[in-house]
Amino acid sequence: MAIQPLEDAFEQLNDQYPEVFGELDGWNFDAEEVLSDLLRALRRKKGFGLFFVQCNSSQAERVMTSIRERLPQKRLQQFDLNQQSETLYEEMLERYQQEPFSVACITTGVEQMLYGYEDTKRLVGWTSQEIYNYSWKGVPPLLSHLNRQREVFEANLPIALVFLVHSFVIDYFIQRAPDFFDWRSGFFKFTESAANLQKFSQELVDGDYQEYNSLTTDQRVEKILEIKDKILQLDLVDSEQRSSLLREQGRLFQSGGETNQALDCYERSIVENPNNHKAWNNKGILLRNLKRYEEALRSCERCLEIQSEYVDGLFNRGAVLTGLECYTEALESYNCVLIINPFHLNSIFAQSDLFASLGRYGEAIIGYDKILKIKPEDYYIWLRRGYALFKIGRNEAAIESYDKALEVKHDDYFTWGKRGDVLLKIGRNEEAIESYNKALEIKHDYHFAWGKRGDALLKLGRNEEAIESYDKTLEIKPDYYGWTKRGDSLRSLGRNEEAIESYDKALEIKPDYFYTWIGKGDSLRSLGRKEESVKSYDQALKITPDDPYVWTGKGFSLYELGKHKEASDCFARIAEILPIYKYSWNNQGYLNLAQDSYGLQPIFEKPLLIRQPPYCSSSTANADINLERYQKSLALFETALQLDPEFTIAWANHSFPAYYLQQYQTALQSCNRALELDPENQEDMNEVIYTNRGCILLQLQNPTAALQDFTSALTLAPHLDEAYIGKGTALFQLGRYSEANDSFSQALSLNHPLAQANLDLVGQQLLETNS
Amino acid sequence: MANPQDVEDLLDEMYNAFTPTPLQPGDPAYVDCRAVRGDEDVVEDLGRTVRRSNEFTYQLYSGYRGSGKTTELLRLKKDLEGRGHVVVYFAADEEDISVQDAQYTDILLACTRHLLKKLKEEANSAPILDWLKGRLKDLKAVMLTEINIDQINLEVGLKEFAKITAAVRTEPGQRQKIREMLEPHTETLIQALNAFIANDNQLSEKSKLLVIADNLDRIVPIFRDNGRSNHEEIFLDRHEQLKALKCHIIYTVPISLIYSRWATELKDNYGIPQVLPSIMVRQINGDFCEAGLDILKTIIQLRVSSEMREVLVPQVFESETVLQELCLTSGGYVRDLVQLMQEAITKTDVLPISARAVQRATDALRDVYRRAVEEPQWDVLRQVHQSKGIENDDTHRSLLFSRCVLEYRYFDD
Repeated sequence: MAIQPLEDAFEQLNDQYPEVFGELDGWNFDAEEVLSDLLRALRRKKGFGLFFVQCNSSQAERVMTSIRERLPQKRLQQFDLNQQSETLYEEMLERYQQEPFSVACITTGVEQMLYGYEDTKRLVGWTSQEIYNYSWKGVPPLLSHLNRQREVFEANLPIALVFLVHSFVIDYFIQRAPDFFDWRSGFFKFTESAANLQKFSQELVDGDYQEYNSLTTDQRVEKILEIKDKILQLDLVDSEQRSSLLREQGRLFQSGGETNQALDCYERSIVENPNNHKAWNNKGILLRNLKRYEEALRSCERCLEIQSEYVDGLFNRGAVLTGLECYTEALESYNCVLIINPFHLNSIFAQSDLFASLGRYGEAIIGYDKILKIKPEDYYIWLRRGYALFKIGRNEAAIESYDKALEVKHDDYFTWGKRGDVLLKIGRNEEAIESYNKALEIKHDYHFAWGKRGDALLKLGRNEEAIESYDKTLEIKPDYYGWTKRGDSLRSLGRNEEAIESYDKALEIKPDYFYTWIGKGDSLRSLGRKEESVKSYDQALKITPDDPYVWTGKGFSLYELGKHKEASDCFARIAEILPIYKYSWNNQGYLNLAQDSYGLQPIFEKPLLIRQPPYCSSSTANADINLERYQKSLALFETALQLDPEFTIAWANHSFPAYYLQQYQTALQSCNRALELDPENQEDMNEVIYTNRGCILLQLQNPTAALQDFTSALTLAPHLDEAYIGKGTALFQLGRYSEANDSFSQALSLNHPLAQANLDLVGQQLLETNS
Repeated sequence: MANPQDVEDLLDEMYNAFTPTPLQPGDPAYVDCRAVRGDEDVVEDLGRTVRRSNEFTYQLYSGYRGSGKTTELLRLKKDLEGRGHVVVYFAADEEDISVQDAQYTDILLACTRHLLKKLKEEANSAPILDWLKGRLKDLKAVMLTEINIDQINLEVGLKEFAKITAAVRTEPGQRQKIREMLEPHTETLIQALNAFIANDNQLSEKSKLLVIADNLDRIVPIFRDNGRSNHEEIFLDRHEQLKALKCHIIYTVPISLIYSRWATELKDNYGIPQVLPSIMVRQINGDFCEAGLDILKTIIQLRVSSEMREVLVPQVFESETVLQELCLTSGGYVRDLVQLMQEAITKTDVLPISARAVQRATDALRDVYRRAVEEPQWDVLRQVHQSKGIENDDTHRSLLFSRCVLEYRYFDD
C-alpha cells in the first residue's frame, strides 16, 4: 500500500472534521492519526481493557470530545483522582451499576499523586541514582490499588479504562509498574506541534528565580516535568531551545536544593549548545555555591568569552574571585558590572561587603549609602553600614545606622545585639544592657546577647548579675567564652575557687583560649597557689608569647615564690616587648636588689629598704656589694623615670642603689623627689622613704635631720624596726645615749637583728659617761 | 469479504484475540515452542522429576514475564492431574502477596492457605487449625478482627487465613506487623502443615502432591543496606524452609536471580533451575533463525480466524516481509509479539496489515523500551549487543528484569 502524501491526507482529514481539527492549537495530522488509532481500539475492545494515552490536558479534552462525538454508542464517564484514590474500583463499580458506561477516562490527579513519591524525584532528572536504592515502601496508593483490583476489574467492569496522562506518568508506569503497563490494550502518544512546542518552550525559560525559590516541592516537580516533557518532544536539531530548557530545568532543581541534578542539567545544556552563556553562568554559580571556585571561574570565563558584557556573568565572576580570595580582581569584576549598569545593586552590595571584609570600611560605607539612596528600607544594608561604621570607630554614627535598621525592622534581635556592642565598646554600659535586653526580649535564647550583657554588667561591677547573665548564655550554648567571662566575674568577686571551676569548663571546650589561662592563673595566684599559677601563665604564653600582662602575672608569681632571678627575667621580657611599660623597668631593678633590701618579705608595693651598718658607731655603708648589679639597677630605675618622671616608687627605689654606690647626694635628691610627689603618703610608702633618707642623711653626717626623718617614719609605721635602729643611731651620734638606748630597746622588742649589738654599744657608752 | 461490517467484525475479533493474557491448557492458540526454545519442555522436565522421584522435589522455574511460563505451568497441572496426582496451583500475586514488598513468610502463608483449601475434604485439618488458634490472640490485636476462639472450624480457619493473606497483600501497615508476629512461629506452621499433608489418605505412591507457586518471579527486587536483595533472602537464605514442606513444590523465581552470582548456590540448593528461554529469531551471527520465526508465525496463525489462517499473506499481512519484520521485532518474546499484533491491528482499518502499521506499532513499543532504559544502561546494552553475553552484576540483572536483555538457548547449551 502506498502511503498517501501527507499534505493530501491532511487536506482530506480537514475536510472530514473541519470543525474540530483545524491546525488550531497545534492539532495536526499526526495527532489525528493517533486519535483514529485510539478510537479504533476503543471501538474494537471487548471486555475490560486498559489504555494509556500520553497527552497534555488540552489534548485530553479534545480526545474526550472526539470519543463522545465519534463513538456515540460508547458512554464515557470521566473520573478525577485525588491523593487518596484508593477506592477507584468501588467508585467505578457503583456508578456502573447505577448507569452502565463503557469508557472511563482518568485525566487529572495521576501526576499530582506521584509528585510526592521519592522515586519521582529520580524520574524528573536525567541521571538516576542506583535504581536499587529506591525503597518500595512508598508505592503510590493508586498503583497498589489498581494492581490489587486487577482481577475484579476484569471480572466485573467490562469497560475501557483510559489514562490520559502526561509523559512523566507513562515513564513512571513503564519503569515502576511494568506488570501493570504490560497489561495494556494500547498505548497512544500525542505530541505537541512544532509551533506550539516553540511557543510553550519560550514561555518556560528565564523564569524568576525568586519565584522558583518559593515553589513548593510538588509545584517544582510539576514545573520540572513540564520542561522535561518539552525537551523530550523537541527535535534533536533544535539544540538551542533544548539547551535553554535544560538550563531552566537546572535552575528549578537548584532552587529546590537538588545540586547534583542541577549541575547535570547545566552540563547537558552546555553540551546541547556550547554557546549558551547563561548556562555557563548558572554552572558557575552552582559551582561557586559548592565552593568549587576554580571550576566555577572557568565556567564564568567561558560565559564571558561568549558574552563579555553579560552582567550576571560579570557579577558571578566577582563572587567567584572573592571565593578564590583574589580580591583585587573581584573588585574589578564588580566595577565592570557597574560600568554597564551603575545601579546593579547586587554588585554594589557585594563590592561593599568585600571592602568591609578587607577592612576598607570607608569604601564599604560609600557603597551602602548608594544602595540606601535607592532602597532606604533595606534594613540589612543599614545593619551592615552600622557595622562598618563601628569598625572605623564612628560609634555614634554606627548607633544611628543601627537605629535606622531597627526603624525598618524593629524586631531584629541581631541588630539590637550589634547596637549593644557599640554601646559596650564606648562604655555606655547601661544602654548596652538595655539594647541586649531588647534583643533578648525578641529572642530569649540569643546566647550571644546574654554573654555580651554579662560583659557590660561586669564592667559596671555588677558581678552577680553578670554571672547570672553568663549562666544564661551557658545554659543555651555552653561555650568557652561564656565560661571564661563567668570565671572573670567570679574572680572579681573574690570567688576564686568557683572561678577556677568555670575556667576549667572553658578549657574543656577550648584548651587553647588565651584569656581562660590568664584568668585561671590570676585566680590561682590570688589563692596563693603560685606554682600552679605559673603553669597557667605558661599555657597562656604558649598561645600568645608576647603578652605583657601574662609575663607580669608570671613575674609576680615567681617573685612571690622567691625566684627573683626568674621573676626579673619575666620583666626583662616585658621590657623587650613593651619598652614603654615603666613597671617592667622598675620591677627589674627592684628584683635585682631585693635580696639586699631589709625585711624578710619585701613586696613590690614598697620601695627597697636600706639596711644600716651593724654598729651605730660606724659611719660607712656596707662595702661588700656587687657593684655591677647596683649600677645596672640604678640604670633600670632611671629608664623607668625617663618614661615617667613622676613615678614615685621608682624615685624611692632609685635612692637604694645610689646609697650603696655612695652617691649620697643623688640618693638624697631621689628621696626628696619621691616625697615631693606624694607628701600626703597616698601611695603608702613614705615610711620607707623617710627611713631611707634618714640613712642617707646619717652618711652625710647630718644626724639631726636624720633623726627627724626616722621620727616621721615611726609616726607613719610604729613597728618599723629599721627606723628604730636609724633613730637610735642618730641619737647616738648626737650623744643622746639614753634616748638611743630606748630606741634600740624598741628595735629589740621587734626582733631587729642589730638591736642587741647596738644596745651593748650604747650601754658601754652610758657606763663610760656615768663613770 | 465484501461486506464492510464483516471486515470490521473480523478485525474486532482479531484485535481481541491478541490480548496478552496466559492461555489455559487446551487453548487452540497454544503452540509448542520446544524446538526453538532449546528443547525445553516444562511438562516433560518438571513433570518427569516429580513423577519419578521418590524423595520430595523442590524445583525452580523461571523465564521472562509474558514468555509463557503460566501457560506451561497450567499445562503441567493438567497433565499431572490427568495421571492421578494432586496439584495445588496458585498465582501468588492474585490473592496472597504484594509483589512490591514480599518476604518468605508471605509465601509460606500463601502455600498454607492454598493447601488447606485444596485438601480440606480429604485431610484432617486439626493441626493447622490448632496452630491458628495459638495465633489468634495476637492476630486479633494486629488486625482488629473478632473471632470466637472456641468456634474455630475449617471454614472459619480458611476465612481467617484468607484475611491474613489479604492483609499481607494489601495493607502495607499491617503487613510488617503480621510478619513480625508470625515469624517466630513459621517452624511450627511447617510442622503443622506437614502433619496435615501426612493426614491426607488419598495421597500415595501413585498419587503425589505438587504445589506450584506461580508469579513469584514478579516480586520486585528490593536491595537492603547490606547489598542483599529480598530475592536472595527468600530463595537463598530461606531455602531450607522452602524445602521443608513434605510435598513436591515448583517455585517460580525472577530470571534476574537465575543469572546472578548466586546461580551456583541456587543450583546446589534446588538443582538446575528450569528456564523458559525466548524463542530464537536470529542466530548468534545475525542470520534469521527460520525455525523460530516459523513458530512465531504459527502463534499468530492460531490466533486469527480459521479461514484466514492458511493465507496469512496477503490476507492478514500485505507481504511476507511485513510478517517477518513483526516476528523479528518481537525478539521471540511472545508477549511483545502479541502486543505488536494488537498495536498493528489498532492502526489498521482495512486488512491486510500494512508495513506502515507494523512500523508504527514497532515505534510505539520501541518508545516503551527506550523509556525503560536508564541513561547509564545504554553503554551496557551496547556491550551486550556486541558480546551476546551478560555479566552477573546489578546493572545486567536489572536489564534482565526489565526485559531489555533477552536470553536465548541453543540445543547444545
